[in-house]
Amino acid sequence: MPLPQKQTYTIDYIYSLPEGQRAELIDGQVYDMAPPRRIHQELVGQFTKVIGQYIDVHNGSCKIYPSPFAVFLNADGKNYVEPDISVICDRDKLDEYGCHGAPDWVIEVVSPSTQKMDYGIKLFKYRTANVREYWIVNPMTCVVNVFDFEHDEKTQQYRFQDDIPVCIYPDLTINVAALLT
Amino acid sequence: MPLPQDQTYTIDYIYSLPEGQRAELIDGQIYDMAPPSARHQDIIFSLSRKIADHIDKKKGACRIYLSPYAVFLNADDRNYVEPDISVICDKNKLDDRGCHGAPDWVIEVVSPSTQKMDYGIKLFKYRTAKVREYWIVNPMTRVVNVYDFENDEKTQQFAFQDDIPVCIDNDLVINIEKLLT
Repeated sequence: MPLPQKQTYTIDYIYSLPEGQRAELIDGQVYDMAPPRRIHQELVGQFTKVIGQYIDVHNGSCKIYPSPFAVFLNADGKNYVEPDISVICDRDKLDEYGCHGAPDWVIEVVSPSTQKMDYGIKLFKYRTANVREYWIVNPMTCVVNVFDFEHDEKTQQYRFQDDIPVCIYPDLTINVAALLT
Repeated sequence: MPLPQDQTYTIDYIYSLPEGQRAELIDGQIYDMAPPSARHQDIIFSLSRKIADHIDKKKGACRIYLSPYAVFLNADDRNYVEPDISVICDKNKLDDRGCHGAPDWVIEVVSPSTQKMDYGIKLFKYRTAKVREYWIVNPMTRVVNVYDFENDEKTQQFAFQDDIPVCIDNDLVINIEKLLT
């Protein structure tokens, strides 16, 4: 999916794209983004709702943003991603453009065309950038991979029907099957 | 699962363990290994038979070894793992004790107690050590995560009933469900 390219790009390229065309930038390489499917948007909507409610009820200081939302992952000019869901607890990272630095929690919902990004390239970038927790939600296999980058202890694979504990919120569990009924 | 430990260990500790007791060593930290379940061993046996048959038929140069098999992952004395299946194509890495350096292909079959190792600590160690391909086979979720560390292109999650292409050998496709029936 990366465009054929020898040169590297900066965030200026992303902001020069025609209205409605989206892409991500990782280590100066451009990756086009395809329009998401219905199940993808359904999951993103449900996750945003349940996590948003949790934050509201607890008067939490974290903010949640669904895609499209700009994350300047390494706060350099060479990395720009739009995670499906970003939870950010340090308000100093936020400005009118988006998030500068790593979100605390990132969730990606896998599409057929984003597998190698979500399970590969982004997995390693998020970890290196010190994202604390990363979920990869796969509607094809009905499985969630949870990566506990902060402590390693809770890294595990779950089924949609499991009550999945959130690493950064010890009193929150999410049952994906229940979200979809 | 790591023992409470402040100090770091070397491979001497592994070889000093009482007969029958197994452990792995990653960056000088000890991780005890629990005895595997029957289901775990079923999958390893079926997978290794399929791969070995393929290597024989092609008169290939690669060798396949099943756990317990010693892999000195970084060819140093602080990293010792026993992958469930190791496929090694460079005979120079092999001696009487095991494999010195990274196998070409590693397969781990997940047990409840090995999740954080297989999906976390080992995932990142194998990648850094230049393992070319890593499979994580999960009998609980009936899902396989394939990591194409060499080219990134084929990194993907599959269901047991899928025909899973092997990255390092274009002629080999494995269907786990068919193997187990």
